[in-house]
Amino acid sequence: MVADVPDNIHPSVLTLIRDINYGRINGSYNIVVSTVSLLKNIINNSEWNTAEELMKLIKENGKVLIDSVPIESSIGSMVRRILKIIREEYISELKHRTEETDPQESLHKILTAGGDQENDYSHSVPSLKSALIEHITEFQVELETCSENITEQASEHIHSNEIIMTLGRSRMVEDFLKKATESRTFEVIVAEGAPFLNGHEMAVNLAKAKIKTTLISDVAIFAMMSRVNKVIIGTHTVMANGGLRSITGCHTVALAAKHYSVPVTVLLPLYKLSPLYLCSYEQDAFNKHVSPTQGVIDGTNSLLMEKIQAYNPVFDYVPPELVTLFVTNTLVITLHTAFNVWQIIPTYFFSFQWRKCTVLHLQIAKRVVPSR
Amino acid sequence: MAATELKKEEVRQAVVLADDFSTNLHPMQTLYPSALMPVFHIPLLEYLTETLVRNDIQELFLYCSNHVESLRSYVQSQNYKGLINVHLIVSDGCRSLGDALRDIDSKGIIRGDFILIRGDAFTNANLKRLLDWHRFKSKQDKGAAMTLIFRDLGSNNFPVKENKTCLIAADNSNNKVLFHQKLSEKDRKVKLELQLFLDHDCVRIHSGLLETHIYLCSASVLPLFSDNFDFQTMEDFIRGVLINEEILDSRIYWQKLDPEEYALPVTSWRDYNTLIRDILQKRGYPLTIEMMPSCMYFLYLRRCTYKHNSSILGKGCTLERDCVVCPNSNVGENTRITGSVIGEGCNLGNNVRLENSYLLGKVRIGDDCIVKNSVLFSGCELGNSVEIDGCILGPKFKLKLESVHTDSLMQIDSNDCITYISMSKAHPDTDQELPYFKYTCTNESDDDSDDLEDYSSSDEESIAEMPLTDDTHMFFTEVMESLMRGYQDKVKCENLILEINSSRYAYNVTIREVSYNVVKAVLSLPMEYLSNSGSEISSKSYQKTLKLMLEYFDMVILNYVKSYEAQTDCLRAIQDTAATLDTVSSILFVFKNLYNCDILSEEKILEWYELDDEDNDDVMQKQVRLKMKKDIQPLVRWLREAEEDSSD
Amino acid sequence: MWRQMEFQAVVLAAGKGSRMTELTASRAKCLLPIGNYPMLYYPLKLLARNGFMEVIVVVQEEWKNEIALAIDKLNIRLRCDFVGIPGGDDLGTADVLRLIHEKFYTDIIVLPCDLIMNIDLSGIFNSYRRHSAIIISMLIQLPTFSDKLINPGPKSKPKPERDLIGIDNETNRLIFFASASDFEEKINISRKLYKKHTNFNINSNLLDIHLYIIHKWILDCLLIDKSISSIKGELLPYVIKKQSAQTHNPNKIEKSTSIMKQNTDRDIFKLVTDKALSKRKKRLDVLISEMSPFNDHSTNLENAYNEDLIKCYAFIQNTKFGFRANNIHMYALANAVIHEKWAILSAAPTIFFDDSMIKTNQVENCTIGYNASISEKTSLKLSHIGTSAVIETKTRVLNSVVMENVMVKEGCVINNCILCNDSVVEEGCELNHCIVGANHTVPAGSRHSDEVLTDIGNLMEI
Repeated sequence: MVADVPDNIHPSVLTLIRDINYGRINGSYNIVVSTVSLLKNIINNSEWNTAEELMKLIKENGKVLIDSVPIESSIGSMVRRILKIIREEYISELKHRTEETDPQESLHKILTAGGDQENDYSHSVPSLKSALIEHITEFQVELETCSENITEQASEHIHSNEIIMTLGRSRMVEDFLKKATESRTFEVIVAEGAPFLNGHEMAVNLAKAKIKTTLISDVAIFAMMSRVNKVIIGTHTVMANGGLRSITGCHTVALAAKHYSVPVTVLLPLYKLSPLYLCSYEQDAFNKHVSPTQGVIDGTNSLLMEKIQAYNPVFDYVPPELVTLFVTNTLVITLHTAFNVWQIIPTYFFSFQWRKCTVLHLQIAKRVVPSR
Repeated sequence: MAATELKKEEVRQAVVLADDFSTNLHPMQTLYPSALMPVFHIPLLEYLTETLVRNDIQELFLYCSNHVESLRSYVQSQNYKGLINVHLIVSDGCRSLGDALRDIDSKGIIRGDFILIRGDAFTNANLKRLLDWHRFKSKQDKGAAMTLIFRDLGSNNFPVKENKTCLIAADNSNNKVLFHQKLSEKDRKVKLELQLFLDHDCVRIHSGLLETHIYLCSASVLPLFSDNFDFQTMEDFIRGVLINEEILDSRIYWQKLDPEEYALPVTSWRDYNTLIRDILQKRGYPLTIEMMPSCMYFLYLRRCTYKHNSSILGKGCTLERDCVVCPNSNVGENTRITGSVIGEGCNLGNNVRLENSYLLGKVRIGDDCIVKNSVLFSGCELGNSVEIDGCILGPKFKLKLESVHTDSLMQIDSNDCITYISMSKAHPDTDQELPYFKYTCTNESDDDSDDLEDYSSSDEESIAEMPLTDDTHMFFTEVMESLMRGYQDKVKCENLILEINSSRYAYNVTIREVSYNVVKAVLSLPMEYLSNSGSEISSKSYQKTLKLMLEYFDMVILNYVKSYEAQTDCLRAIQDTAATLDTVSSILFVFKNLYNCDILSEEKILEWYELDDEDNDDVMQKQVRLKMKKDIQPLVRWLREAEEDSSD
Repeated sequence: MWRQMEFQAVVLAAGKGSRMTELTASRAKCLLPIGNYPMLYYPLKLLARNGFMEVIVVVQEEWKNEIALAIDKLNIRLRCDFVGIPGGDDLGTADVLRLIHEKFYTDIIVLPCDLIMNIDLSGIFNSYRRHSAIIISMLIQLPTFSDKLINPGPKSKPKPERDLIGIDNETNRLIFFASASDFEEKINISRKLYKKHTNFNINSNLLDIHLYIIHKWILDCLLIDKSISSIKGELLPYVIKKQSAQTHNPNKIEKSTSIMKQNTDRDIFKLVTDKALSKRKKRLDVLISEMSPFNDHSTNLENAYNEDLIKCYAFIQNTKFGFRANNIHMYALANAVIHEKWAILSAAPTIFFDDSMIKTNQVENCTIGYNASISEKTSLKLSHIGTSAVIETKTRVLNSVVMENVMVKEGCVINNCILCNDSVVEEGCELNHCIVGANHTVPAGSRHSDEVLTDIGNLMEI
């Protein structure tokens, strides 16, 4: 059924694509985890001799994955990340240097370490495979602890007797708030997040965790915002410029927060970072449209359906200037995030020779981000 | 061993009939089997398999009777590995759905419950849920043969000639279908057995349902078809089973799709048009272009337009709304496209205007063409400055420079001759107009008037109902209609009497009212008839038609005006219609004729004449009577003379 | 101080009990005891509990004083206005309303006197208010009969008349109402109906309990159109049919009338509708409905309520207990089950009056009226004993209703019987499933089962 794929594609890639498309795997985290383990599997079980061959293999498979599931940009991030690991390991193996294997420090190392450019990857390094597997396992551990690392910071961001607003349901936000309630008492206002109304489930879950929760309809967001101390939302992706691709309604929330000068905190596991940009003319391609009958209009009213054109986009684009704070698993990125997001992206995905986080990256980054 | 058998029991099987045997997409059906009808650049079957795969259907039996080769090569070109097992069942000379199912039964490949889908169906329904429901039902009721799947359209008030909605009556508690009828504009009412309501506590009557051409069948369905050779279509089957429920020990259930789900069988060009519009508007999600596995690299632009990466749009070219540009197509400069599909490998020149048209692939259109509401099959070529509107161009058809065509079907037949058929005659079997999607498009602007028309079409019904929804008046209108039709189509009087009787029971009218209304109707009929046929209404023409009609309806009137009392009613009717008759000064004529036909006896006429209605205070009534009396004086005189003669 | 009420309550208690003539020979139907209250007590209590302060009770003139007296004793906090109507003519329910129309100044709620149930009426009121309905009817599930229960009197299988009630599933509009006996074999569903209502149920298991809320102007219509005599049989079907009449577009009417010169003025209903319409036009609610995006249905493009002026609704009350005691069977059933249902009816039964002379201790689940005398060695079970009734020794009374002043002599067995007032059962009788008419004396030692025992002359009077 998946037409026109090159023959050398690993069959498990196709299975993964199907699983994601048919909704058997959902949620960014699960997708990311299965992508990484898939790539690991490919490295482990395929035949390759040099890093160059391996990278070619990963690129080919990765391209099919990315193209087949264009909306899940974290897949692309993972492919790039694995490629980076390959390059790094290759270089270090080549220099017969052993890596320190403290997972806690790995990102720090990424930030500081640099490699030589213009490397020739065509040498066969026998020990590369095991080193890679080890590194990827390390990375997997990092992914697993990602959410934990974020929720651990909860008490630093939520203070006693604050009123927090959130929209819809995000597992990350839910865990975050539940963690915070262990040490603080606060109140949560949940906007229901039409048309998918995940907020209902969220409110129930929070109330079960004994958090004082209020569920409001989306139209009341602006009215309620004046009494809110802080907005905490999750996101689907963070674009290269710090803009968010998050569920519909987030833009409303962010604008209302802006109007009342309420800080907007976004919980961002780093795998949700995407090196992609949103071009204004691609607004529609950037989004995912589902059937308008899923909450927008009544599917049984076919007379109406004939007369109108209804859209049901899943995501909102929230421009970076509306976001105050990103809480990631390793660091907190504050105001004027546009610059700061820029800073991590290269270090997270590419192993070119950026050394320190300086404003200089702005210029370089423009070159790096591929266009669709 | 037992475990594997158990597993076999659980295999989900689907049967897809590649031909539907009932589609009306001329000339599409001569070129493709229904299942391979191109929707954008991929066949309809592909959407169907996608849905089946999503629902974990393990085995698909594709039953082909026509275009076997194209089906075979299509199936071979697809990579179904690990997704679904596709088996082709090839059979020649199968002409109906019943034949196909009998054939499948004789091959003995189906075990247990299966999903039967006709090839023209498009759906994104959750078949798993439906199948589970059916299995659950058949566990409760061993005789559960089939579950019909409907989509609720919410209304059956479509201003469309061909209305495909149907009405069912079902037991509300267990969804058992008790009655099923396709609705048509002609039906004034639906007749249901009273017993139906008494046997079931709560009967749900649901109209506005669209058949999805998806049927969940128990294994017993195939033998049922084999045992009953007269089941040709699905309607035959449903009717047969409902009537002989006891004998066949089978029952039919129904299920409605969720409002979020979508299904549409493509049986006409209008459906084709609707389907494409709906897919573009994501009604079929997740069966949208970007989600189809074989449709990678489509870029979604705004207002529901898609463009494939490999196609090229010229400078100043605009895709207004609801368009798809399929792979490897080129669109020239300043071309405007709305509501159209440009198939694979098409070439459009500059300044082309394309509206509501479908180019099914490898079509070449020259500069400055205007193409509206048309379907161009693959390989068509249009020279520069061609204008077509509402045309269907068969494969490889070429139109020269600057030609202009409207509403015609053009194709090259087997002898390489070019045939032009105008749309109204294009349908080969019947003389009906080819229902073509153009009409929806052109009507879009004046939808309101359309609605009005819809009302006026049911006007006869409303006339009686609006001022006084009395049963009697409803009855009167029905009698008028019956008689009018009877007169025009020369229906036998016996049948008319039957018809009037049934209306009588329907509206619960007393026998006296019946005689009154029948006479009234007969007297009013000539006026209607004359005004309908557009001839002048004069006393002469009225009398002439009335005479003819009285002769014709003699038996009917006699049937209702037998007794003395009935004659009173008859006279009352004459009196009440006097105002109308007056304009054509025919009261005397009426009396004479009724007397001649032995409908009115002379005693009655005389009695009526002599009766003084002092007690009637209505001045109007009095005047009318007076006038009538004056009019019939000659007759009365003659009658009296005759009486005296006989008494002598 | 006179207060404008939103609804006026009317209890129709002038019925003669034509389905239970054996019992009503010498007594008003509404005074027949259920438990030890007269039947009329229950609807009045229902109204009182739902906050009504006053009620119009329509009774037959000849019984007026007696009923007033009986109700007075019951101490219901409700000001009852007893209106007597002449009993001679056979008046239908709508006729009665027409007769006393001067008393109505607002919308009314009509109850029958034989309604035994306890419900919160706010549901039906809200439904009425929400849709500004014209008429709303309360329906309950048809009570199921247990086979164990044999009704007194001649054996007959209780076959309730079934109504076919069509209710739109989306809006709860009442769109079809007819008695099953009106049809012979086929039922026609007109195109208009199924076009307007694509999804409706026709129920045959619902019982119309004759509880209606009726808009004031329907009463005005009744005044003009004198041919309507009963609410359920004529008014309701008529109004339901009128729902689909399109009155809102004058053009169409003109167009249609011009074709056949039908005298439209015969249709009084329409005139009144127009009048009501013109009055309503100016009203705020019409303006609001024009401007509001509210719609009661979502499956087509029609305006809210399809712009119908006449709106009939059904209100299906879910209740575990409730029925109309309008025939002998239901009456017996009511008496049989009332013991268990006091809590539901939230009425306190007066099981024993102090001064009734009860000398036996074999009393189980009984209600015993004032001044009743029960001798030693009697056994009473699931029975109701009326005031001043006398039960002598060695008698067993089971599942029975014994009305006032009944004398049951020694050594009788009374099982599942209704003994009407002032009747006498002599020594040693054995009565099974019988009805004993008023003032009738059952001779000593007789045995009867499944019979009506009455003075024939008494019955003839009716």
